[in-house]
Amino acid sequence: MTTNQSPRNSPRAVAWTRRRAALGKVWREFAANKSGLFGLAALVVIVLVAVTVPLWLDREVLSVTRATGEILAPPAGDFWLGTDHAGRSVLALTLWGARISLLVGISAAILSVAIGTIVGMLSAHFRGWTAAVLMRVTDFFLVLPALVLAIVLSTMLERGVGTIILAIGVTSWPSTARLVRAQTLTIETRPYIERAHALGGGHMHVLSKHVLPAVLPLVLANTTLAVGSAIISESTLAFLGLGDASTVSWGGMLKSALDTGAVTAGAWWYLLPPGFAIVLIVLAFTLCGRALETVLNPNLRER
Amino acid sequence: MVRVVATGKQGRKRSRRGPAIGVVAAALGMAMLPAVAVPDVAPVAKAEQPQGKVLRVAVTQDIKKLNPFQGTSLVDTQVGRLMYEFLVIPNATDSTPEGALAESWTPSQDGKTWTFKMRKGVQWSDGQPITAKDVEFTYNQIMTNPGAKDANEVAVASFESVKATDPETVEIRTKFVNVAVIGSVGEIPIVPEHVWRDKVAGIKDFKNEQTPVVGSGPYVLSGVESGRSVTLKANDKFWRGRPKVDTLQMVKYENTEAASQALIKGDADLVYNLTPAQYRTLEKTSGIKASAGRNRRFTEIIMHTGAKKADGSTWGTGNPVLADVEFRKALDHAVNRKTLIEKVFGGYAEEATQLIPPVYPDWTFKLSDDKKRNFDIGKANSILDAAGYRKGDGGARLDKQGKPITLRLLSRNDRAEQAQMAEYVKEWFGQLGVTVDHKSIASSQLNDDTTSGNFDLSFSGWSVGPDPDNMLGQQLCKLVGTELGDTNICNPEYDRLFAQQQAELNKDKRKETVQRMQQMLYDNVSAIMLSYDKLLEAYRSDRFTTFVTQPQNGGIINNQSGYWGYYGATPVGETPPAGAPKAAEQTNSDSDSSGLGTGGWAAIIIGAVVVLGGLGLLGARRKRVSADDRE
Repeated sequence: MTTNQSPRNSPRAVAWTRRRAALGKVWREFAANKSGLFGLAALVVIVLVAVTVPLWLDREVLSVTRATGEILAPPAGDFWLGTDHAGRSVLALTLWGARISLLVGISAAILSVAIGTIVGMLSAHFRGWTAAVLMRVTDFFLVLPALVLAIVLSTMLERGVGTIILAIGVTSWPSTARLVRAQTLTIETRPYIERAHALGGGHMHVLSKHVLPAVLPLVLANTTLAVGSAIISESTLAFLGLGDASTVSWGGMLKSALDTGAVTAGAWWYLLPPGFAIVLIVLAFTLCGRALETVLNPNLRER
Repeated sequence: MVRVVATGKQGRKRSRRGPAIGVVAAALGMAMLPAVAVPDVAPVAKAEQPQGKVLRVAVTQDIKKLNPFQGTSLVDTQVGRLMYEFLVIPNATDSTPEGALAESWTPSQDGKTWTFKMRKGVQWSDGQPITAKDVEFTYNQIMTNPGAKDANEVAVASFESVKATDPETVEIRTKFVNVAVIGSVGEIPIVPEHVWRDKVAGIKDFKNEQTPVVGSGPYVLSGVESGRSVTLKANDKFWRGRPKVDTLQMVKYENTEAASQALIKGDADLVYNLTPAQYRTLEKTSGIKASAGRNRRFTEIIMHTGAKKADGSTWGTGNPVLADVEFRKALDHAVNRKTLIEKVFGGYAEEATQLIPPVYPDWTFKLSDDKKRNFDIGKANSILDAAGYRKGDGGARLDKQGKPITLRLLSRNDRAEQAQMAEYVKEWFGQLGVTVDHKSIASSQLNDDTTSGNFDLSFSGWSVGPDPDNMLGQQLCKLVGTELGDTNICNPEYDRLFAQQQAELNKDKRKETVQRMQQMLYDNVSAIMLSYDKLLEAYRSDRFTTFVTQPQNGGIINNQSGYWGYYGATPVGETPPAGAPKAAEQTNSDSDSSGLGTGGWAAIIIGAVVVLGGLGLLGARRKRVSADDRE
């Protein structure tokens, strides 16, 4: 390889060719997974809607003072999914609510996976007391009920989207840390890591150049799954009244519905859309994540 | 089963997936199936085996303190009223004071001494006679024992001494002439000296839960399940005659939604603090009668007006623009009460103008139309322009230093209607260029923030007693920045009028002064008054024919300043208790078609409501509650 220096065959180009091929292989395997594809398609649609909704649905629809509908009117005419307690369209609220759910879900999942990955890798790489301390911290967070901790955090801190993200992020990382630690441990026993050490690679080099790329696929699959549970946590917190009252979210909609007596009033159109939206988005992320996990983690492949 | 117990990786995956889907299912389930919530609650109702005719009241607030010297929340004092009789009680008709343990009372020539003649032959539930000594003992505890002050200290504030001159006579001397004495007396439950004598040292920590509790009211306490239910039994010795309900149970429900479902299923007999949506459904449910009662409470937005505390110190961190009465006027013009009442209260409320609700027609504020500040965004904007608040870039209203104005607005997270109203207010103020930073917080935190002055705007509300003295007294200069302070505004002229009305023996002149005081508050925009809320209640009409409301015509069953509602409860097939005032003509013409359209009720059902209830608001304001509930 070193003899041929033409651009096409430079180490970089070779690496990229290899990566492209690997990616193609991943995609083919992923595409073979029907449910994974379904999840991905649903995700693409939801994300597209959430991102573009301000372009085709005026924020005006969220205004209570300019709401035009009757209070808690069943689905009909202009309001395909009925109206809420202020006479706003439940459909519009559900569409707008997707934004906050996605934002919080993805941000919190990334935060949680980032913490988990760093803690997991460090605790596997540096055995001894570092690992002991990190793992005990992980255990501590693992045994603490995440929801309770998140409730406490969001009560103590300033209200807002940031707080919710933080509360979910810092309470849901231990399982990722465990997972990454296990993966790191297996990878570090491989000969090429030993070779890197022998060639003088420091901790930073080994962790960032060799271990991280090797655990990344798993982390990616894990993130996809974590988004789902983060969205549920967000909805739960909002349902418990700990969310950001000034933004429309699905959990918040369910809370308003319950608070204003929609259940007794039989206003199913106020309850089902946000409920189904949560189910759909979590299902999409879960299906995607499972499929990715099967593709990327050889251990899970069927023999 | 076997499949679930799969081992290895699959097992792990399952278990990881399990909770997630479980939560979704739960979230959905909660949303779709009210029934899910109900089984949790049903066992509670059955926890104690009640005997005879049972009335089960669904409450959403915790009943915490059964010691009448301690209980301050609305629900605590409700139970206190059932257990212990008063010297004087606000009657059911129109809340004017009526003799209870006292048969009659007369003021002395100088107006400073009141002599009460005790009713003869009245007994405690254990058969001991109730005498003037018991009254003296109770009042002296409140006046002298630091552990007994919590609930009723303010009511006895003007008292100099209370003495039993003989077993049938009590003399109350006041420090100055105070016409509100009778009103104050109507808030203090009298306890039996022979039971409480040896409890005085530890009175603050005495729970008063060892049943049977000796009492004198229509019911006596017979069982307490902390956080779940409180059971009371009919008092055979009650001087008005035994109630027709044998067992009264107050059962705690998590929210009014669970309570409504319990009513529909027949697990509860009486619920209150309903939302308009719940009310409309229950109205149409067979076997249930719903009522929108004229309540004695109001809802307002208080403002941090920058008044100084009694010791001259500044207080908290309010936005200085609120100290400007023109600015407050502009805000007041920007609130559309009609919309709030229609959308948030479902029409079950009236526009509020001042502190005293119209259930007290003698004292409620009569505002002349030409002085009324109507909803008018344009006018609000021009007031702000004229007062020198310019609009900056992007339409943001600037204060005198040129900084954009942002006001913090606090609401309680357990009161759905406050969060709803906040959305409207935010949009209206936004049209003035004023940014509103709405925070929905726990009630205890809201109480701390408003007491320490760390707010700009905050939702608030009080239940008002039959005598206006107390509510008006909460606006005095000396209460700025205290738990009892309401609007925290200070006006020496107002304080002077307050003292004047307190010493005014001529009722018409006193009325006039009370009007002037309220006009003064209105002109000063002491608060943004929002609504006089109705109390939405519903009961099983297939089990109970009547409840006595207060006021008798279209009033409330729960949260009364008396025991009439529970005492006058009449099970189907019974006649009302002998001592109960006649219920208004809402009676039982149909017991299974839910009273829809039946003349009496339909007429009564006019107005408005508290979404999650008077209870909630008061409860969360803890100490304020005490005042809230204090007439």
